[in-house]
Amino acid sequence: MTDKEKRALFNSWVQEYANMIYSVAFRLTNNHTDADDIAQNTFLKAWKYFDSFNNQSSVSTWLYKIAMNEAIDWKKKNTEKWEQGLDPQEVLVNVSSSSYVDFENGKQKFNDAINSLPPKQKAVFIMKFFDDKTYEEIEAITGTSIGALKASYFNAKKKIEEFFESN
Amino acid sequence: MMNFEDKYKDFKKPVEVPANYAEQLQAKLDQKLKPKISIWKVSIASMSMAASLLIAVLLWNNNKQNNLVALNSQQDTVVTTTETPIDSLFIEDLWFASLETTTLPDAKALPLDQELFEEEFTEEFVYEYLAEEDFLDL
Repeated sequence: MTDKEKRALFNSWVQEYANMIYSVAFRLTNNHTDADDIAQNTFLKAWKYFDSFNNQSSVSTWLYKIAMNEAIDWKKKNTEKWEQGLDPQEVLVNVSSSSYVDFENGKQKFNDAINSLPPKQKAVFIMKFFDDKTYEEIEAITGTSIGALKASYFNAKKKIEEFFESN
Repeated sequence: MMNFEDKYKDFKKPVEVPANYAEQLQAKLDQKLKPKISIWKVSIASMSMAASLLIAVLLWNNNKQNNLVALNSQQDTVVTTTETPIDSLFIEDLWFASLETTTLPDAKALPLDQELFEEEFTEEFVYEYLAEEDFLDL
């Protein structure tokens, strides 16, 4: 494959998977700037290691894996941000309805509960709950066994329930 | 009893990705992946073929991968994608009066001629030439 062909393929990946990578990065970081940085770093790394991609997994799984690792690295440098709740921009301005306020409060609490999880468990929870990944897909991304992933997801749900009860 | 997924399904809202995000991201990536180009302009009265070759060898050795090198028709300018500075001591050895570098914002505007370098200035050719001319103690 020529450099030009590689670049064309890479660009097609950007077009196809940019939103997916941004979404997972946003869920992990809770803000646009960091999600965008992670998305950029994910694709820059994908380009750097383009030749090492061997088609053993799908492109989306490979990119997802890079994004997860980027997010975990980001977390190590930004523990305080990681533990924060929703981006203020996420909170909508229409608070006239009491049911809406209840919903927003619940959503905020739900996010707080997720943000209280350890990084890897949070990543597993997001993949399973929000992105509807199968355990097989998560295993391919994380390298963690299915049994351990099931336990991690189960424990994450338990912690979130407990968080709700105690708050 | 309602299971966890059903209980919290209302919070499972998709992330609101900014409009045209893929295009925005592509533009940022294009900018970051653009080759870093520098022009090294050697200000001497006449730059010999050997001097040109020596610079070519030096640049080659500094960055063997992804290094495009081209000499312009006047052979007083070396264009390279490497950001590694030309060794100043090496330059002194060649009695160059001065050396300037300019990083250009747009790589496309540069007269890169990788083909010339690959076809004529092969490593083997350069080393043989330099050895013959006593420029290099091989």
